[in-house]
Amino acid sequence: MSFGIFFAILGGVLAAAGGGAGSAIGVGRVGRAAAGVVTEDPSKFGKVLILEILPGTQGLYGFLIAFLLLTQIGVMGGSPIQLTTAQGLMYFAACLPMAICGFVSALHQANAAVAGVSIVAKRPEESGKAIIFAAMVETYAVLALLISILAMFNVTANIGA
Amino acid sequence: MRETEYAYAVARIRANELKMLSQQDFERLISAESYSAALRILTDKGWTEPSGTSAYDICETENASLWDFIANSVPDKTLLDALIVGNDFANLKAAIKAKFSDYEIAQYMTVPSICPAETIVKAIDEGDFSLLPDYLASCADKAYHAYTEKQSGQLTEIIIDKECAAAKLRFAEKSESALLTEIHTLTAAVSDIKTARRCASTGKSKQFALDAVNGCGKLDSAKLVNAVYEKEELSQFLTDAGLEILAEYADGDFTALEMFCDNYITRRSRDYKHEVFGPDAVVSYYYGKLAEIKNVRIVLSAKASGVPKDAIQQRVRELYV
Repeated sequence: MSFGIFFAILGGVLAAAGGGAGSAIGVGRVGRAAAGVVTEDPSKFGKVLILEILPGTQGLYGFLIAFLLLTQIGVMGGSPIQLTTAQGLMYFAACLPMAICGFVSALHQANAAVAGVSIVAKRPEESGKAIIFAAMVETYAVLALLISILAMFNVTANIGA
Repeated sequence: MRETEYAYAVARIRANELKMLSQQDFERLISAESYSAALRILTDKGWTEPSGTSAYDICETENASLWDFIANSVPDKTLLDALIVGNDFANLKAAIKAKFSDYEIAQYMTVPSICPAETIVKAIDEGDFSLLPDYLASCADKAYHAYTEKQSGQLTEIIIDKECAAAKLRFAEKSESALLTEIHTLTAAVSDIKTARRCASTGKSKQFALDAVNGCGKLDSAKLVNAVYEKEELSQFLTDAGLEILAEYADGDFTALEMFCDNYITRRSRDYKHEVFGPDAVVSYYYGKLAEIKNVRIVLSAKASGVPKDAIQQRVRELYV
């Protein structure tokens, strides 16, 4: 196996691990806060559940990038294409936006969602606003996802794979 | 401990804040026709019906519920210890006094405490201070010998109060709660001002006053005692010491000073009402709830002794909610 394919796979692994780790920490953090509210008022379960789910999307985005990459370089089909080190590094770089932004945005979205849980605790009728505050952070995870996808497809087009 | 570990506790607190008594509830309480009518308002708001008939009962039950709630929510034992370490010293004081008098000690013990009250009583009874935790052992030894060898209840109290103030600050710093450290620093300073003024007004020597102040509240003990005894401008001294918030009340009566101190703690607690992580959110709720309980006790005691509405309103403290 060449260094090129190694770097490409490493990029996919980082995208999945960064997004996944961020989401795991984030969902866990919001889950603790949600449990606090549900302990006092079980009727708010539905509202806090939405907030808990929000930081979980980065994990899915990371998984999507890793899956696309493995498909692009033929690993999913069982016959990996030959990549030079430079080409492998290009795939690696394409995965970085999702890896970094996925991790960071999941943590910050979790913090916003925990604050939203406090809103639900005190003013359940304002839960929509709480969700919007947390969802705003999602924008940057989506932008990172788009850049990673665009960069990856362009790398594929350029190397003619 | 990481601040995010407090997410569960803080969320429970935010949900519980809805159950706290509002300004309108207190207006109703103060305007209640009688003591029993006031009790009814409280039980309607979810306070547990007292088994006895005194204000002490319903407030103590609420206090116990508060502690139960905090102890079951907070992930860090160091914070819990920091909130109640003062009770251990109060119990130590009670245990020493009880040993040399004939009153029943059980009713004077404060709960909750870090060190079980029975252990403190046993250590004092047997004179075996190794039974006590480190923060209490040397203080108990000194206080016990002051009581037995010098027969000085006053000296015993001074020793315990000084150690208590120092321990509260130490525990607060260890808990990493900036708010709790600020509260204990302020209360230590207020306590020093009161001690120095009390010593001066009762004709104690300067040296006695210097020994009596705890010196934990960021006030230079020697300068404070000097300012009080030489009748210098105490407010100016406090301003220079960075405690200008106390300057206005430093020369006035103690009731106003204590009331200001209580209100200031509540105001500072309110500043942390929107924190979502960390120990400060817990500390702010804890002190906010204590202020509420204190207010209820003031109102109920006043109702029981027929104090007029206007007088009650002057005594109640600011609310957290």
